Amino acid sequence: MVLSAITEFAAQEPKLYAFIIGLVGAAILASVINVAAMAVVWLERKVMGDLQGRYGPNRVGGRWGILQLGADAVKLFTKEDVIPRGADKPVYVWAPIVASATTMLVAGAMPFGAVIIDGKEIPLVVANMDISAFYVEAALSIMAISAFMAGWSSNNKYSMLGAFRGIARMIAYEVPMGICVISVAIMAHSLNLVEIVQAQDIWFAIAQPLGFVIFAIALITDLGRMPFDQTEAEEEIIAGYNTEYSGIRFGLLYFQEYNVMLLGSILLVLLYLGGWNGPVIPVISFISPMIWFFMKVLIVLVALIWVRVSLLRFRIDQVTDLGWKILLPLSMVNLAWAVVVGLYFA
Amino acid sequence: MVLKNLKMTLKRSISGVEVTRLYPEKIMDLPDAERGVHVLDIRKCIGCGACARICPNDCIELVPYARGNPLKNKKLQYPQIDYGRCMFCGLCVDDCPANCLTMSKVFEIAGWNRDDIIYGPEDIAVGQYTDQELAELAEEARKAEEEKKRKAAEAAKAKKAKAAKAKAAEEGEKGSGEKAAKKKAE
Amino acid sequence: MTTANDVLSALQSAFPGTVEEAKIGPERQLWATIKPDKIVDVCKYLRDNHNFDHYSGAAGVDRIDEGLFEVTELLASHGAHQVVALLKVKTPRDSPSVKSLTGLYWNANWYEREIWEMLGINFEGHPELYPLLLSDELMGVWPWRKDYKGYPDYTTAERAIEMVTSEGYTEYSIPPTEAEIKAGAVPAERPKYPSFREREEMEIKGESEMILHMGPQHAVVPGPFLLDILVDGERVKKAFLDVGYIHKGIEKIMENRTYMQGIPITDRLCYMASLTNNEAYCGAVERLLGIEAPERAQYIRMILEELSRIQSHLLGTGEFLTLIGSAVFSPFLYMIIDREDVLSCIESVTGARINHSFVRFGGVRNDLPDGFKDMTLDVLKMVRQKTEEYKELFLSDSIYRKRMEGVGVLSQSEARRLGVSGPPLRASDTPYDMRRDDPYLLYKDMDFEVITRKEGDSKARVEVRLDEIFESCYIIEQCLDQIPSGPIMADKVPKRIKPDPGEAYYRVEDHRGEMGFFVVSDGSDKPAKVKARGPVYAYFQALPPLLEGVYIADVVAIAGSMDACTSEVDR
Repeated sequence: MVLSAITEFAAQEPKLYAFIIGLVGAAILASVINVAAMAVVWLERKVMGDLQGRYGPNRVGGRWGILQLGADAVKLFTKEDVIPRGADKPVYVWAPIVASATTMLVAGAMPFGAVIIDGKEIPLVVANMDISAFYVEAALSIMAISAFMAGWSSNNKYSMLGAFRGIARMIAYEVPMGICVISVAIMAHSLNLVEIVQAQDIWFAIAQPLGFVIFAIALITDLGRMPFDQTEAEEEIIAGYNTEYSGIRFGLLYFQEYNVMLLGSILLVLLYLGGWNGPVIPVISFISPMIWFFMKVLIVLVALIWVRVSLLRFRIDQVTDLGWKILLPLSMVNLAWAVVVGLYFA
Repeated sequence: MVLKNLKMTLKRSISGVEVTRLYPEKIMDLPDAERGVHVLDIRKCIGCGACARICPNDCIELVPYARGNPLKNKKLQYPQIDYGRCMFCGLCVDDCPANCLTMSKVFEIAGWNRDDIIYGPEDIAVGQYTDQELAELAEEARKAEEEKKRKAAEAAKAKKAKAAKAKAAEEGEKGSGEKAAKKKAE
Repeated sequence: MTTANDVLSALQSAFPGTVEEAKIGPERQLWATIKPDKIVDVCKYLRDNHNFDHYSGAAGVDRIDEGLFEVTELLASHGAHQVVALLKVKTPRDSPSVKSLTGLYWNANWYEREIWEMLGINFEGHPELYPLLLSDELMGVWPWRKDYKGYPDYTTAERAIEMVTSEGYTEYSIPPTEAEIKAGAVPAERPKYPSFREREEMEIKGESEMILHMGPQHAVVPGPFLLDILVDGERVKKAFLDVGYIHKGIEKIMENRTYMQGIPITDRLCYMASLTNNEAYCGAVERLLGIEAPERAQYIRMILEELSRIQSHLLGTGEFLTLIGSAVFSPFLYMIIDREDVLSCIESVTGARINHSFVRFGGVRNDLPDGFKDMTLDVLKMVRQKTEEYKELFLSDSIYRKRMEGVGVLSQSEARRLGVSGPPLRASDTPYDMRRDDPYLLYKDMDFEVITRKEGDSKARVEVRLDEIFESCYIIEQCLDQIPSGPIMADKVPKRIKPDPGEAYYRVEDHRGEMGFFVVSDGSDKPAKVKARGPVYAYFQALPPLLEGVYIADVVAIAGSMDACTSEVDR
């Protein structure tokens, strides 16, 4: 009943409907996404502990330490707000906000799974754009700007070095990533993320294995995770671009990092691992695609954490070498492969 | 390439146990040689102060203590250790000539201020004299004192009696000597 | 094989009249007093003709009764022979001045700087006589002199004057009070020289160069020391190093404590290597007293020192891995977990995990408990297996090889010239190990190899350490087989330790290299002078030339592969 009223309203006033849906979606997104980032941090600490032979958080909030992140957030809120002397105040203040805004922009266009209502699969997405793959890819690169803003405005040598390294790394890895996205789009005949998922009868990870590997490596680099976290290498440049940040500003930058990790893994799942496709589970067919989606994202997150814990860090010149000299030519090869296979065999 | 690294961590996660000891609930079992808080056997301590002299940080001070049998020697004093300064080196244990100072396995000695962690003989001593024993000891000492006094009095009386007898014998001799001399003169 | 007698007779024939007193000490040591003006020639002769190419250190003693200062130079050889030459130079107390050996030996630099700032002896010809361990306010007080009255005023915090420098830094200076100057505790006029920051800034030559501080408060350093690097982009042009941030004055403290009370203090020179520090000190005092520990005690000492070596190498390698990976790099945590078992073995004997104070004059403190042999053999089996895994991991990990190969290369001649010892020297193809070249305890009966590598880069240094773990396991197993029963203390150890006046020098193979203790006794129950010659002093001195032209990320890789311990440098 309610559903039919809503669809009628949508037909009559499309612009107002879209606006209201946008507002509601933005509100839900903004509140849910940071909590999801906290859950990702909790997952990371627990999985890291298990891989290293120790427990993760296990005191706050019972044996599983669920409320540990809540305690950390409270601690960050109550810290003193310090702006270093000589820092470029407007840029310093806006850098964490730009960082958080990036995640909102990206999350707005990404589908978060689907539900099956009356046998029809409805994707859960706030803004269903026709070029969403391309848009998401581009919006993710605003991260580099916020890192540079934070690093440059801090008036600190370590932050500046971190900022330079961040820009160098981002430029080197955006190109292979973009080419891989285009290869996927060629095979799927569309740039809309929802349609890319629906076009994956066989996963693109199997159809374009080279592209999968390149995109995974480029994604780890973009996110700034080990073994590519030179911008915040604790041993050389203290904390990189967020050296001078403390309190809630640091909290925003820190959670932004994990937000982007979550969104990046979702992107990997959507583009290469079949999104929410999977056999329908009989009893709970309403949210069966969601369950498949959730499991795949979880596996990708655990794999990211696993890689972080096991590998050493590259030096910055080795990172840019890898990007320009190895990944770029290989992604061209992948593009050719995608053209051949996609156009002749699909 | 880097796969050995990944395999190693995965193996640890699957087949390894967590090594964290959940501390306040589970305490480690320490070896016998462990150097923790001191234990003083107060019945053997002779109050020589060798431990106080050898301590590199000057943590040991000798203080009087009522439950350490002061009746033996009224000036006997026992060690008081300041754990804010002690570094648990064990030199005091090695140097004690009466072998009465040892170290136990206790290591949790936190306190709210500096005076709380100065452990006097009442905190570190074992074998302290209980009230009953002290009362008994005092009773014994009193009895011994009385016995001594009585014996001294008896001895003094005996001595006096002996002296009087000797004097009487002497006078008797002298008297008899006079009598004899008088008789001879007659 | 050259003996000390040969060297002495050669010296006497080459320089007639310069050798004033000479004595052949135990264990191939040559003690000689040389006339002050001929010391440089004598050392040059010894270096060129008799292969004395290793400058071990220098110690300065204040003989206030005779009105003299004595500087003892310690020379040894990198494996050509086993003689140690201890050449003494005397200089009068009111105008002390000794010729500097920096022209002959590059690494004499820091030893002479330290003697200058502590005793006030001027070294003629030294290129940069600046303070090393002390801060600028204490220059000119010469703290190690016997008539130093201390810094008596405790109101320094209130008297501090705040100044803001031109760059906006706030600095504090503490002017001396009248009472201090009158008492002679502080000189009215300090010697003039450029401060550390001024010396750094003289080196900046371009617009794009800047100085990056990696210490004293930094995530990388194993202890506080100042490492400033002059960078141009991501390349290091020059490095500056300053130590002295945790100078505790251990050597002066030991002059005011009896010999026995000094044992726990030597623990704290380097808390990871506390058993070998104890051993070096007790060995030197045993030589002064003329006693020797019984066999069982020597075996126990060897077992515990090798166990300590295993745990120190595990921690050192693990800590180094956190510097090139992140702090959550898993093999570091696995090494720490293995190290716990080794520490439990040591704890079951000594009773403590780090500051053991276990070795005594003439023996050891406790005997081995029951079941020690089985427990240790199990632990060693586990350590062997795990270290094998780690070695395989590092050989096959390509990121590790990229970061470590060819980084911070020390060639063989360079390593000898810079005066390093221990694993970095052995990784540059020089088999110099105190257990082989100056055998102490019962190492001459043990069968082990001295591990060397040819390349001299950071990877070789780490490999030498991991291989040494295997050798240590082998030595411990031999000891556990051969250990006899018997007493653990020598019979004739006096209750009050008052050695006859004399000097002794004893070297051990510390976990990081060659450690030596030089003890001077004047007949009372407190030592007249104790000098701890640590191995990490030479590493720090050798670090700035090694860091030129590398990336910033390599600075931590090189500094970490040296496995430094700042506590030992600053004493």
